[in-house]
Amino acid sequence: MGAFGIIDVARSGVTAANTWLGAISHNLANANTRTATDQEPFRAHRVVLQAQADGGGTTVSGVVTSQTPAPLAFDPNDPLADENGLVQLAQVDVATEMTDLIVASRHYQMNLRVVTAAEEAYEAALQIGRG
Amino acid sequence: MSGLSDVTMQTASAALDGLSLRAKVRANNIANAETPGFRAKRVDFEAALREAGASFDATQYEPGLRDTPIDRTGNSVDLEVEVTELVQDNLMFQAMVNGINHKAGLLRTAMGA
Repeated sequence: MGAFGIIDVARSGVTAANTWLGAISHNLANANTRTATDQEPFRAHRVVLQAQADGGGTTVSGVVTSQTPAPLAFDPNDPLADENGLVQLAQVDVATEMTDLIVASRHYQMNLRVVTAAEEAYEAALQIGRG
Repeated sequence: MSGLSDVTMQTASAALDGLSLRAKVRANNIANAETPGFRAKRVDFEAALREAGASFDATQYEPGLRDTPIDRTGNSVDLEVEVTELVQDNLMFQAMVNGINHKAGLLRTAMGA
């Protein structure tokens, strides 16, 4: 950690929020993705945040997917439909994604706020002795 | 005690160290505001300063746990508390720098510079 360590800590929060936002947009983009019933359905990605040791901020330690069965829809006209006329829908809960979108955006903003505050404090420190 | 590094300068310098450490611990709290199981930490360097007079060793200080409520994910970061204190601490940091510069100005006057 360098001389301006607070910015590194805050940047870890911004980076994690950015990865999280990426996962949310990927999930929402695929919210209407259909698959054939004999294939793996699209499953929402969930980022797992973990605190770094030594107080160095946060990190995305992995991405997990929900293993609950995907919902089925009856649509015999869909080219992906099986002999019973069923297709698999995406395993994405849009309400969860939208609330996570708010939390992840605020997390991003909050950590940028810390970068600004740290910058102000470092600017002040650079004025020591100039009075 | 020499006039250039008296108790005012030492206390102000210790306070700057304490505020810097607290800012780093706070940045870590905010970065982990959404991390499950993370417990928010706090730096009470004022208490350490009161006990030790004009000295505070940021390298030896061990941050304690905050007593904010723990949510259902096991996280105890309270963003409102962190952000309001962030503003206060930044103003305090500015005030300390102004204090040091003011003191240095007095010394310059005394030296006839």
